[in-house]
Amino acid sequence: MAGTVSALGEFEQVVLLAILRLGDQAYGVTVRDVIADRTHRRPTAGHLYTTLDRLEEKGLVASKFGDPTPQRGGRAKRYFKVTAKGVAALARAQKSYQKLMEGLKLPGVAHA
Amino acid sequence: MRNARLAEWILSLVTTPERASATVGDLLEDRRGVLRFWGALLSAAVALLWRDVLADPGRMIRLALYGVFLELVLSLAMAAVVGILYGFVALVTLVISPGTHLPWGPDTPTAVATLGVIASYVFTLAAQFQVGRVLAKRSPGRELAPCIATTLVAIAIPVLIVLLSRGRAEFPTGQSIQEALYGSPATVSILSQIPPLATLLAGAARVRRQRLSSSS
Repeated sequence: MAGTVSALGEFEQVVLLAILRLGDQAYGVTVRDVIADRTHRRPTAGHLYTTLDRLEEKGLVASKFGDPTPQRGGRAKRYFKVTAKGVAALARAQKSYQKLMEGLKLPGVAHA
Repeated sequence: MRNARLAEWILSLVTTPERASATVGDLLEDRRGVLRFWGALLSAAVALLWRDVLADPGRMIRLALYGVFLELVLSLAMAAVVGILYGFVALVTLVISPGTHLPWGPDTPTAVATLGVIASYVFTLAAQFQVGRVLAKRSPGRELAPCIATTLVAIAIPVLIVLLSRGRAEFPTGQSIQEALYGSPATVSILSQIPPLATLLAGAARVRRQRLSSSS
């Protein structure tokens, strides 16, 4: 379909949610920390940066460079922000999961 | 030692200099030891390079086939040059002292044979460097990716020939391709691919650096 974004992968959704959670403070280190903190898995640098690049190529996130900081050897941070298109894609993906989960009881899992 | 400049240089071969700088900044901020720093850096570099290889598979396969063709042409050129040089030396030797026994094949003295092997290896590496440059010029923005694709195709072609011929395919010299491929231990076969791949990538890296410095 023209104008639509291909289905989001599971890790792409994780990264988008992490960026949304961080607001204005979303850059490589914080995104990785939030993912590690919330999902108990630490993505490799390769996996994280290629996913961020891919999301930007799809127009789902936008990035801009901040000011250089001394603790980073004078290197700027690359801040990420989820675009409106990214939010829509994420909402669509989450809705699909919810539809699949509707009325389903996973054995051994307590349901709210 | 965390050589941040070297890290940035490596990453800038596969992404923009600004992104390379920000990524190295992230890794420095992470402060998780030297080994983890370099591990993370290589993980990022390999992933970004592989992403470039897969970005446009059709184009990459075409470039890889072109790269293999160039390698083949240069190998034949090397064989021709060696043949001409040997013929010239033989001619001069026979003119100076007629009736001299010329060393050839198994009669070749060890020193001459060793020199020949070293010369052909140096020529092969120089040729790989040039092939890397040519491929990089045809792939702006993804200079290193066609080198990886070329190496993979160069490995895949003989394997395919062996599989399709059910192990009966031979080189013009009569040596079995299967024997040449699998005759040596796997580690030797893999390690022998590293210097040609490194020079192929070095040629492409040179073009990338020239492109970046001319655009900045």
